[in-house]
Amino acid sequence: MSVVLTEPDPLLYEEVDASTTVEKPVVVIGAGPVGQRVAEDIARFNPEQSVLVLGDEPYQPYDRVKLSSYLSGDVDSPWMPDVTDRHSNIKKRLGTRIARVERKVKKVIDTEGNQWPYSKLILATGSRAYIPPIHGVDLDNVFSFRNMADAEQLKARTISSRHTVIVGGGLLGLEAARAMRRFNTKITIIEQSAWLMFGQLDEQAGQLLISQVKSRGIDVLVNSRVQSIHGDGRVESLVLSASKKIKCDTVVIATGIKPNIEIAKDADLNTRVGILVNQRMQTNDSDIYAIGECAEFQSKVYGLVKPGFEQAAVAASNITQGKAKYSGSQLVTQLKVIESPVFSIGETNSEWRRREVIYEDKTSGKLRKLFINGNRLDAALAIGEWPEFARLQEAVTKNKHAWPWQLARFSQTGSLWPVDEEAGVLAWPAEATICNCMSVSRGDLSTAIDKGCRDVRSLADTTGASTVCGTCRPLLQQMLGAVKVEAVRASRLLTTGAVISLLVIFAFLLSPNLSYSETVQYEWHWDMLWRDGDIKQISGYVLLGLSAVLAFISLPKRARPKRINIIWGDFSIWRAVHVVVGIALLAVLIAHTGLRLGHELNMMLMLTFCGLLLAGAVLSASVGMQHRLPLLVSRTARQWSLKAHIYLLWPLPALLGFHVLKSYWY
Amino acid sequence: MSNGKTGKLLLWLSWILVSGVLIAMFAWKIQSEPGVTDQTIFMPGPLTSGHHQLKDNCNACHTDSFAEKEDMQKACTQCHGEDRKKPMDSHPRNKFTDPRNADTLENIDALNCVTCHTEHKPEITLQNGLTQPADVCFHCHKDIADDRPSHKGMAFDTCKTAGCHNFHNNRALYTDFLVKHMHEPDLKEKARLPAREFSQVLEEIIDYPRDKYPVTPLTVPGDMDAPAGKSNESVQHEWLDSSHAATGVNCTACHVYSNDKESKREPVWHEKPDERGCASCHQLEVSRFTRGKHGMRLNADLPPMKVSDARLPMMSEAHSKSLGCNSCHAAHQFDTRKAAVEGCLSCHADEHSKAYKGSKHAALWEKELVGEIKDGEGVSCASCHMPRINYDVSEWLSRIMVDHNQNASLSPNSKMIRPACLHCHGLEFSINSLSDGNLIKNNFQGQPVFKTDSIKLAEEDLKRAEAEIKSVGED
Repeated sequence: MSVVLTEPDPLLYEEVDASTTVEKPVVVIGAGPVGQRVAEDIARFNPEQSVLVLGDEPYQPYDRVKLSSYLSGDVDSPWMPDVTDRHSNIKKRLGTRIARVERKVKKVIDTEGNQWPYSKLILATGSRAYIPPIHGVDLDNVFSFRNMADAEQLKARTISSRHTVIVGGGLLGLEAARAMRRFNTKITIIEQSAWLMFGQLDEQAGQLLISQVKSRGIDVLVNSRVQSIHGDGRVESLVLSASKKIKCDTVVIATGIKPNIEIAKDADLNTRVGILVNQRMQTNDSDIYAIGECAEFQSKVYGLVKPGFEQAAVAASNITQGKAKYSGSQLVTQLKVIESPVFSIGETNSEWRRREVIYEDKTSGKLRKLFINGNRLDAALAIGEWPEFARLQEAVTKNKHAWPWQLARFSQTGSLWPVDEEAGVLAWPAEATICNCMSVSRGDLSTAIDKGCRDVRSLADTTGASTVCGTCRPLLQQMLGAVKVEAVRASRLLTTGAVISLLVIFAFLLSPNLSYSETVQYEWHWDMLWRDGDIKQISGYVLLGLSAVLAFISLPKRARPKRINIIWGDFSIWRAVHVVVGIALLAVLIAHTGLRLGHELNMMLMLTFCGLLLAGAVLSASVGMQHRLPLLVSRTARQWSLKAHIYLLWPLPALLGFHVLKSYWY
Repeated sequence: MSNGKTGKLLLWLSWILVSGVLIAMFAWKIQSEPGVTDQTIFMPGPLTSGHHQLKDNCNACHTDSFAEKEDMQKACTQCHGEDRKKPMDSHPRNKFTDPRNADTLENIDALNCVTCHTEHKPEITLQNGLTQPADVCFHCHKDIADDRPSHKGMAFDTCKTAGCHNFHNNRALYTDFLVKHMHEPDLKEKARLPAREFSQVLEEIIDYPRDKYPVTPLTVPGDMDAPAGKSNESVQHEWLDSSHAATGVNCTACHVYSNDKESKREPVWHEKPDERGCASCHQLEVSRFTRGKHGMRLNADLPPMKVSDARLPMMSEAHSKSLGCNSCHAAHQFDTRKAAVEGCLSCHADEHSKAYKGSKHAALWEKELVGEIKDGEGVSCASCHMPRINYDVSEWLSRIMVDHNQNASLSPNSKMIRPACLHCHGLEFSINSLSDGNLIKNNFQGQPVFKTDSIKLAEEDLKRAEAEIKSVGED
């Protein structure tokens, strides 16, 4: 087949080449989410660089993840925001099907014969549904479920279908089932493996998912293979390998994806299942990159959008003179299967011998599982809601340590971290991913909030978070909702108390001791306070009494969290009393010791007390100044200092007891 | 919610556990016998140089748990009581129990040692372990200038530092003594130490084991009563040359402890006898030894002092040595001349000790060693630090003995004047020399720069008193 090289439409070319750069643009083939992302990344890394995005489908770029929601009517449109709005150097052309790539002259030629010269070429051609070679797949009402065209067709079909069979019980099949379930259509899922989502779940979770899917009225047949599809022009029935015949009027094939590699193959680029790429996402032509579902990295083709985004970032970095390297993506799945949220991260279904820690709540159908390898988090999966999944995802990706008490808490409560509803998402590490779809971290969101985003919409516009699947929207709201912090009662007192405490600590640790008198020729001198045994006893017992008062004020809060308000009134009053009594105690302490740390046991006591005081000061300051500090700072300081304040109190009764005892013993 | 409750319960339980472990540990430590465990954790501060060797036995001073003030006082006098009596002490206890002085007790509780000598307080510990301000004399003597016009304008913190007064031992400094010894030459004509008298008074020492070891010379190896195989030629030679053999002190006198014999047990041969072997004849010397820093640990039921325990500079090669009689008196020679200098210098490495060999005292000692001058005319370390004192052995017997408590004549150093310096030097010269820090460091090479006024003042007082008496007589 010969293709005539014609000059591109001058008008069109003019429009595209409107950028002032003399250099040839970076051309992206594919206007899907990954193609769009790489264009945006390049523009972000180097705003001078012009980028041309060539899209094949006649639609505006859309988010494939939203197709099922679109199909089920949950969302009106899956369209993605237009990236050219944000970056003037990104141009795009839809409905342009690429015929071939002329590597020697560095041009791509579309089916209309237009030539598009490139400096670098990025293949983001994505994938299409894999259609198994079964007899009868070409019958009417046999659909694949992969692109907008499929969705449009299926959408038309949902109303009239009585019984839809979905071939494939993986991610795609379940999404399709969810979408087709409306209007009382009977749905049957046929899966050749032993359980649903074979790639993401282990047997226990897979079986649980089957029972949950079944309980919602969807039939599931596992260990079954479709042999043939029958019908007169249209689908009427389907025969399974066990010679079982199922009557149906619609078949959706969801047996996996097939990377679109034809263009690459024709251009003599190395391919296997996908287009082979190195760590820089380059093909064997260093000017041509491949990313997303069409790329194969270390024998893996990633069929999810997040790895595609990561690859896009690497490719964009390398094209704009960065030196990013890709080392594979952690497989993270987070979706709603029918009504059950399913989470999976890492290799959850492998033969390795690993420790499994399980939390199961049979009444609500929750299952959570951690896979531990040498005390480190290796993989995790869950069925049912799991609020801390995003944080966990971060921990698994970094193979973080799981401490025995964390695992104990997990098997008891299902949470690896203590549940602090107050701090919530703000307590997550800055690098923890909150929006999986757009790869937005907690830190990114906090930065955006600090820069002035005050509602979900502006936060979404700035960071892109929640613009795709929207499951992270509550987290965004939580972050925003927590921003409004008012001063606590007596905040000035708390802050003053903190300052005084810090000064006292410094005085104890740094300043010289209050001196003894060098003469007896005086009426009264302060060294009486620590020369005279009787006065020392008095100051000592006053200290003991004040300590007891402090403990007594704090005790009821620790012992009976519920009743405190009824019996004691507002906690903030008692907090203020605690601070005032604490400061009084410091005054007596100085009288008792003359700012001396002491020796041996006495020094242990004093150092423990200084630590306790420091923690108390930080706590008091973080509470007293919470309306002025960055939210995360005050929360973190408060959490940690409270812990330190409590734990440093532990040895105090024993130390104090023996400090008193030894004064009389010796 | 139930999880929260369990968590809280767990936290409380862990706290109780932690506290329990801490309390158990401290309780075990505090009630343990000395030596079982290190109890220094309960010390409120480091000990003074006088007591630091006792840190392993709190009970040495804190005799009983929950002790009263009187018990503590008893613990002090148990070791220091002897020196706190008249005439050794110029402020003895009975001075304050005397009703006429009752008002002074309101100023300061002078009946209890710890009033002025509080332990574990290095921050306020002055010279000689004083923990009151240096002008403590002010409490009772604030009107001294009225009684003694010569004291007008003197600051109260100079009473004890100007070579005039000590609170306790003032025997070399009181007025009459100063007057008696004024105008003495720096070096006396008859400069000689008294001779020791042990061999002369042997007959009069009641518990001397003269039945078993009659005072007759033993002259041949065949006289030795050691079990077979326990001696060799060099031991024989050393012993036969010693004064022990010359006075009939046989092997078993030292190698078998006398109290073993009393308890009628089979006499046990001790290969390396300790001070218990010496004590059957030299009981007094041993008991004085255990009063000083060299032997004080023995008095507190602790293992002997190690040289490395010392706070003074010591020879590094001596650090592992521990202190007993044999540290200075090497068996079987028991050469007191070696003990008197080599014994000291094999451990002590401070400036004063190292300067000795170049001093005039040492030159004289060298002459004495080779017989150029008479015994007692040379000056060894022991001449001053273990002086030959006239000691009351009993009510009817006193003898010149070597005081093995070297601390008895130190701190303050004017305590050395009477037992040591005055044998050869005049009082004024002695006071001046001992007040001169540099002279002490270089072991008295040179003349004292410091001049104390005490003798002049005493003289003036004397003249004033005579004048007063005269005027009274004239009236």
